[in-house]
Amino acid sequence: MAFAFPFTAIVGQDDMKLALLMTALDQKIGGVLIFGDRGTGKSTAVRGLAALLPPIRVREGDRFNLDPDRPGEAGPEAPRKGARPGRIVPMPTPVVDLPLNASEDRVCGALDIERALTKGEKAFEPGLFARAHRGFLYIDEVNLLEDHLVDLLLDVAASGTNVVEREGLSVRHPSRFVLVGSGNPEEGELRPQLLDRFGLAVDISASRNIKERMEVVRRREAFERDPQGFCAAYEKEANAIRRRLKKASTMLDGMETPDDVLELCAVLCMRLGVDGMRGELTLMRASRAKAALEGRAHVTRADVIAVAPMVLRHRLRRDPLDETGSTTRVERALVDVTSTPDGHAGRA
Amino acid sequence: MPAAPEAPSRRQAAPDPRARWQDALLAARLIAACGPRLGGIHLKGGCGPVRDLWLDAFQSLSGGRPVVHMPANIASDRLCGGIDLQATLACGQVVEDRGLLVRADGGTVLVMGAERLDATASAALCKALDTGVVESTASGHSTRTQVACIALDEAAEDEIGLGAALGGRLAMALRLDDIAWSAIRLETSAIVPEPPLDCAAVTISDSLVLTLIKAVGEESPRRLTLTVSLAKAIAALERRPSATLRDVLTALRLAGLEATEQDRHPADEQSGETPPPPPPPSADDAGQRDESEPRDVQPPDLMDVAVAAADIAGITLDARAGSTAARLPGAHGRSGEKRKNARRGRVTGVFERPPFAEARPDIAATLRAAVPWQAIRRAQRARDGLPETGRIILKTSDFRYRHYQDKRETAIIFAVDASGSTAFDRLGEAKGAIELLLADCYAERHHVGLVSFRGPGADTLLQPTRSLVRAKRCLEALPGGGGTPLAAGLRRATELAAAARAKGQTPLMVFLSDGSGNIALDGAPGRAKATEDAVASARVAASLSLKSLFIDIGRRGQTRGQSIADALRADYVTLPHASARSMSSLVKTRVTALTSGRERR
Repeated sequence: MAFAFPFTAIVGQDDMKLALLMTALDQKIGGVLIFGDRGTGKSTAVRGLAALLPPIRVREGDRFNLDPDRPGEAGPEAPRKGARPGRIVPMPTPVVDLPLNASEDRVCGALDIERALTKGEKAFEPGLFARAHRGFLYIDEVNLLEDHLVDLLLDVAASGTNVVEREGLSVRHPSRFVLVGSGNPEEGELRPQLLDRFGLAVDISASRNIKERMEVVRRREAFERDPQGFCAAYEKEANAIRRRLKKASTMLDGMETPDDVLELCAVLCMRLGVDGMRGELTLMRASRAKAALEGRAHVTRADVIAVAPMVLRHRLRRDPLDETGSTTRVERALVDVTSTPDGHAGRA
Repeated sequence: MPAAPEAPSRRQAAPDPRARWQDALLAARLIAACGPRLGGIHLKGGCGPVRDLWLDAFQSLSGGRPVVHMPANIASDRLCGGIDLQATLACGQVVEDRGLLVRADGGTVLVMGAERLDATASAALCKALDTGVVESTASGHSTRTQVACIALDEAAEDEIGLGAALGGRLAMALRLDDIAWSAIRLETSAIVPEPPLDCAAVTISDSLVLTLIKAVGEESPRRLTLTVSLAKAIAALERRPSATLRDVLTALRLAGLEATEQDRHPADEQSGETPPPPPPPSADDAGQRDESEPRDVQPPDLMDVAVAAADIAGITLDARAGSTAARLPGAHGRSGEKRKNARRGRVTGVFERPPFAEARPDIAATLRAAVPWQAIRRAQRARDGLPETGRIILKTSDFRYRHYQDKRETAIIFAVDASGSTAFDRLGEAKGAIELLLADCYAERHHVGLVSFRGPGADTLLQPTRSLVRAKRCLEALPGGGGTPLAAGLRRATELAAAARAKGQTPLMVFLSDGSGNIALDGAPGRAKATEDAVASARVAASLSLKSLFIDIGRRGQTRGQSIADALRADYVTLPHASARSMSSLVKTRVTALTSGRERR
């Protein structure tokens, strides 16, 4: 297998890296939408992320990545009578690519033609949704994804279960994944329903700093000359991130959320007219994840303020005649909320 | 934008066809030698003997390595691999067919008509270029493949060419169709195949990388790393262990970028090598500058070597900010009237009913439909006393068809009355409104054309294009005053609309006028004849069933605009007092109504 460009060797783009790590830490945050210029390392980051993630435990030969520690999680394949369950083995966290040209069959699974033809059995061939369970599902150019695939994605991303009712098959299996999409907004808009499925949205642009650009070239060159050696050189940093993720995940479990943080989340969402509870919940989860990633056991208002743009910018109602970008609107609201007395101008 | 519209002709000065042909041959050698590292070549221009000759040369340079032709409308399973129907049916088990990208492994994919390449095929090709992996559409099985891509982009000057996704992954951009046949000489027999070359070992100094960074400017980091690889590949081809300034300048030329004057003649060139004469402007500078390319922006002075070297860290390349909106042709996501049951376009699903008479069934879906019945059918066959067969038994009811939906592009043609009667008080508003609409058109990927009529006749200011910047520029420069040759304006707009329809777009004409023409078609003044001509021209447009919107911007309540609108069978709106903004929102709702679903052919 070819070496993927290491996540830690990506120059700059801190927002994107933070967002990806936050969702890796807490899947409930619900995925990242990366919008921005072409060729800025969006795909590279996602493909490199796979190497940083801790392995998941699965039963050997399980095609549905079921969690052996959650016996309630049942796949469509009933274990054969008398057969003992497979050994529990570690497996790299799946990062599954959903290509734009995927067929519905490939995505949600379909009748296994091979087995049907050769053995006359009606068997289910799992699709990408099964492979992505407990991992990441990555869609490059998500804004160009065809509507019939978006429909499938919407259902599964919301329910965490893939239900297949076709070709005489009636199958359901769990499919919970972190949805990561990237694209260039100038080439098409995302359906609002799909937009809503992403927990975080980051805008990235190419660095205009000459020194950073130089570094991009240098690292790319070094990688091309000796991919193996290059990856090895960044392994130390990768290990540091792995340790950070591990530590953060234990911290997250015991983390308490103080009232002033919850209040700030609520005030911000109200101020920006964000519908529903999802914005607030995600804002809270993202703030906690950020604090945990920084090795702190307490989440503060500063965390909320830091993550608010990426949590809220894609949830604002769009006014086509308003030229102001959504990021600016979030930032303005932040200033308002943190400086008015009812927002407890405080530790921020 | 610093580049004035007349800039191209000024810089057209020295397109030496021989040098350009040499460059083209060099590009071919580079792709043959280290193609996958460089992505490939964006080859602009129509077909012709020079292009054919170049392709022949490329074929010989490739030696025995595959050069595979890829049609723009290729189906996903043919591109990435799918089920081989014949073999599958013959042997009773699934046989996969290697896709085109796998067959091209180690060689080159020639994308024919790359400007028409659809989003999904482009995405698959881009992924193969990025990761060197192709995933079969049938099983998802991934196969490694190392390919380069030569995108033959035949878009005409004003058309939108190759999509940015693929274009951004190709290191070189060339144009061949304006090289005269007589200017070139080529002994095909003299061409020897170029062996694969490893350019990763070539080194490049920091100062040269800096030169490249400055020349690449605001373009993506990917463009930067590709151009660095290109410079290294050129050095490798010359068997040099490290890249020189000359290699860098050649790389920039082949990439269609420009080096700054200081870079061409650096005072402190330490290698002692004589810099080459200023390279001829690259192919697309020779008047074919299309708006989708940000390359026509002069590298700002800010990025002077000396300054940069003095304080690398502090300098940012923000001088080009604002040009981003002008690039990104992105041939996708365009909206327009949707055609159901189209023969091409995006797949909307698989159904039992064929979308059109001669539709071909979807093999995989058909097999899946047939498979569950095999046991029953075999038993039935046995009961009917028919001999056993090892093959799969298909029935008509098993056949499944893919349905497509083709979204057509919308071309909005604005015809603006810039005559004295409306100009002085309403022209500003009209301009403002159109400018606001342009932003929407851009977001919706509509094409926008612009016609103005004043004085003796009508002018096509802008053929339908998707470039916001160009449309804006034309609009700002639009003068006012003179008579009202309404008939000529109607006629010109109709011509553009008809041409747009012939190209497969859905045209919509938007007239902004007071409807009181006073110049006849032949240019003679006189209200009676002028009105007669205008109504006649409007009827012509209506008879072609072209959709239109007539915005009456006359001051008083008049009936003239109404009668023209009636003859046009246009939606008629009066705007005696209106701001640019309200005018724009009104037009927008009409455009949406006209383009979404209400008319369907």
